[in-house]
Amino acid sequence: MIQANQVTMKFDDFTALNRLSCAIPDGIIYGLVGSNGAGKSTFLRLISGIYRPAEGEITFDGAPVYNNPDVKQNIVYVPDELYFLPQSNMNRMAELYRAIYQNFSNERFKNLTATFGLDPTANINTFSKGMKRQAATVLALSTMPKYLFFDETFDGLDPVMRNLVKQVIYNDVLERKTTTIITSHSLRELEDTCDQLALLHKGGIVFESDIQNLKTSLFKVQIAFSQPFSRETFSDFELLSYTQMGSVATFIVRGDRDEVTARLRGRSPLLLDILPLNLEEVFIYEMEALGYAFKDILM
Amino acid sequence: MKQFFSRELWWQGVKKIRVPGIAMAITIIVINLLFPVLTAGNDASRMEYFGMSGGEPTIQIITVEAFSEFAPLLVSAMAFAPLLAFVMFSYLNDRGKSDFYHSIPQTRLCVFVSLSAAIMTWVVGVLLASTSLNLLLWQMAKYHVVVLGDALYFMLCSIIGALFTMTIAILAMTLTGTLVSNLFVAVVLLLFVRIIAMEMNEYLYDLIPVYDFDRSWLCIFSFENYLPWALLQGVFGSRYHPLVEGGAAAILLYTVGITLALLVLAAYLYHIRRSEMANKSAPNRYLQFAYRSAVTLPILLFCVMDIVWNGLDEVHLIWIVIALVVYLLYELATTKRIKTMLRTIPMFFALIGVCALIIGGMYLGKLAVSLDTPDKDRVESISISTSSRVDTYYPDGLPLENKEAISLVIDALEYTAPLTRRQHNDSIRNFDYLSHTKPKPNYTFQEVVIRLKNGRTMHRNIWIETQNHDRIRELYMETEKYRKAYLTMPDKKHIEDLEVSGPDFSLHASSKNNTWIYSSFYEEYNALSEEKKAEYMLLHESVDWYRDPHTAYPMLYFHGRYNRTYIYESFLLHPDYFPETFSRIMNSVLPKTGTYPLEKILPVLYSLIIEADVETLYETAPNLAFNVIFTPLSQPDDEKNEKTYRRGYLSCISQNDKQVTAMQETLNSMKVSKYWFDYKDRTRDMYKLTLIYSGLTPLAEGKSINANMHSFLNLNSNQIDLYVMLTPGEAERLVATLETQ
Repeated sequence: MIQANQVTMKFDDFTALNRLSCAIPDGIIYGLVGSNGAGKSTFLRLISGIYRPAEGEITFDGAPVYNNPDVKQNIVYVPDELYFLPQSNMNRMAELYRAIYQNFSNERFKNLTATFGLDPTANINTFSKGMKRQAATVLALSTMPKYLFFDETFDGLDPVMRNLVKQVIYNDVLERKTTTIITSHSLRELEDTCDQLALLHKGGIVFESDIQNLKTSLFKVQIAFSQPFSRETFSDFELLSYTQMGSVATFIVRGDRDEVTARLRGRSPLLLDILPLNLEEVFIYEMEALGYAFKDILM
Repeated sequence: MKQFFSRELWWQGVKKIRVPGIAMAITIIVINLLFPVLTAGNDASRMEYFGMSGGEPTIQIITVEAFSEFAPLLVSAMAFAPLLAFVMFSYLNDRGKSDFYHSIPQTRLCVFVSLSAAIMTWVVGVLLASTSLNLLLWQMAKYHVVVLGDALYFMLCSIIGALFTMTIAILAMTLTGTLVSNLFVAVVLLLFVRIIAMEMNEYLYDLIPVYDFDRSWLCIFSFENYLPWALLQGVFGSRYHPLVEGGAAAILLYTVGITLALLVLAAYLYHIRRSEMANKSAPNRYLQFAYRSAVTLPILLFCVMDIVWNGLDEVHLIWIVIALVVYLLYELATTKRIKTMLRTIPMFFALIGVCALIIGGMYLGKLAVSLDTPDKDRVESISISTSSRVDTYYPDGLPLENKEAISLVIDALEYTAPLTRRQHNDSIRNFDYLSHTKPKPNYTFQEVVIRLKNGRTMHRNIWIETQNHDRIRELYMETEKYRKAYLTMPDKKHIEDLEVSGPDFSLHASSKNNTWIYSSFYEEYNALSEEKKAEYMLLHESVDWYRDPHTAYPMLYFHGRYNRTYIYESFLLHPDYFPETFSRIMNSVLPKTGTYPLEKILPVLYSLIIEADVETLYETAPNLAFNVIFTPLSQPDDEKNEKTYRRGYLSCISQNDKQVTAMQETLNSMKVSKYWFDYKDRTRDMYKLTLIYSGLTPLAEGKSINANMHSFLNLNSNQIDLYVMLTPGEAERLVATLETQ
């Protein structure tokens, strides 16, 4: 388990992360979403052992990560700004990774290189942006890590490659129980990839939840009655949002879907529709409930 | 367990800098290989051209001097090493790259050590390869010998110098996060610290002349003890430096020590360095101020010191403006923000205050030293230099416990202590080069060691009246140790190099043929009685080199090392004291084909001289000695390889009546030598008869003599060369005279 405990990170007078705490269990795909400057990359660098927090601690199964080669041996970090040796090709980079990471697998490297259709002998400078990301991903996966961190890695990939990368990650998670953290500023990107999601805003996690739970515990209801009614009619439900136009009301409710549906049917409505929410809508309503205007958080 | 070194990372580091490493290898190895080829080839041609005739007749073996001919480009490793460091650690200047290296599963110390070792591998490897290949090539040279110890010593110096500059570069990179600030701070560390120390030393030297700074810990800050500077001087400069002469173990050890200390500091700074420091000129504004100040301080300190020493002048305002410009430019170049640059201006004036504080501290130091003058009755002994020969055997000074000597020294110390060099008109090392002042007459400036009864030893400089200094010497001569040291000639095992030089020849004792020279000289000297030794030493020390006829005799120069003291001496090879040595030297210089007593030649020469109308010479230069050299005028190119270039060597004295007796005595002593003329070489049209006069009074230049004699008179200040060209008839007349007599 990755544990961040009251982590604060400052750059001169600017506080990038402020007393952030979270616990990321092993074997999941954890998504971290937030606007530009929210602290996503900073958080990833902290848990990769690149930065040392000004306050707080980050541990992996109880062991601190900073300047700890034993822990870092199982971590690989794919940043937003990729690094390759000058004038190198993938084989040269593999040689470097092999020297650094004890568990580097040549076989996996060859397989993944072939899967992604990359030429390992070509100069990486000749690759497109997306191909460079693929190369970085291949190298990272070839180190057979227990912890895999991607910083907005998918953003440069085409849909086909994106799916391919996701597939590879899924396989790792399933077979090797790899823990993956992916950051993005696109909820849609993370929606069908991650198991858990956290929203980062101004250096802190404002919202964190299991995605399945998010999607199923929150839903939209459209209901109509023949008799007059108001919001108070539904005071026994946990409503996040309520609008009414005439005899039709639309509201967002949190709770068990089947139970809520049954209870509403019991009131003999003229109309009852249960509509699923996408992740973005879930976040909007959750944030509004917390007092944030979602448009202030996400671009 | 945490690793401190990773072989895999080291190898990756070696590969990472292979491009600049190969460039360094090509520059140093390949170009250095040209030196033995070109030098040996050139010398071989010269040797075979001149052969055994004239010039340097007995030089058969040339010793390759490490600092000039061996591999001067080894010193360029001092420039390449920091370049390798800049390339290796360039990731520290880029956020993305820095993050990568901080993310890898190695401790920061391990990364630092492994990558630094990779740089050292290139440096040491290239220098080793270059040295080895050079040695191999020199082995094939016909006339050259390389002293292996010298070559390895020079290689070691170069390695240490390169590792030092490499460390400076690495340290600069751990302290800063942009290339511009890397370079600035590297230059500051490499030069400015020493420049500031040198400026302070210079100022202190003039401010507190009584203090012997050369023996204090401050001397380590001089450029003389700075290895990169010394190496460059050794290769490109005057070469008279302890490092070049092989006696600078202290400098090497000091450099190794400081390199290790800086490397440890760099490792620590790297360990604590944050990855996010990449692309920042300094980790915080305090260090930014420190770097900015370090760049500016040498200029400002020099200016403020000069203001205090000489008073304010318009020039100083210009210096202050220059310092301000440098100060602001550094800020602008490293931060690229004009607003930030302008905000730093107030701190510039704080720097001036810092300079004033530094100078104030120096004046306080002067006061402290001035007050530190012991009472005479607290002094156990003093040591002062009165003879370089004695200093050889007593490098720390020969203690003299004589009360009179102690009193003279303490009085001189009390006189000197409150003075500055300017007050004593001694501006030899003053900034004021234009003052043309001379030291006070009748004073000499001496180092003195004062040993107190409480065990403390003081090293001071004093201005002491010459008569008092002479008196101290007299008191020294009353002691047995001094007398013995004064009259002791160094043992041959202490002699490293020797040369005998005459007016027209030189012999180098590194050649296998000439190792007997010092042995012979040493044996003859030690065979002399103590009185004779003293007599000879006084003669030698009293010779007026420009005026004395004894200068016609050869001089023996040697240098070497006695324990840790460097020896450099010269002695007159006077035939009265060293007849065997003198004779052997003269015989070895000149091939022998006949014997012509000088008395027989002189009348012929006198007639030639009179005909040349040089009577005025005798009137104005009563104390003449002249050498006669008889040489062919020219030789055709196709005969250059033949041994046709000959010289005869004579030494005789002028017609002046007073010198006739001396001349006869000289002739008697020279009878043991054999001289000859190459009278067989009659194919030449003209001969040149050279009369070298050592006169007292310079005469007018360019006076021409009787054209029939085809001669001309060449005059310079103290020496007159008379070139008399003889027609074949005249040469035959001279030769006939010699043959019949």
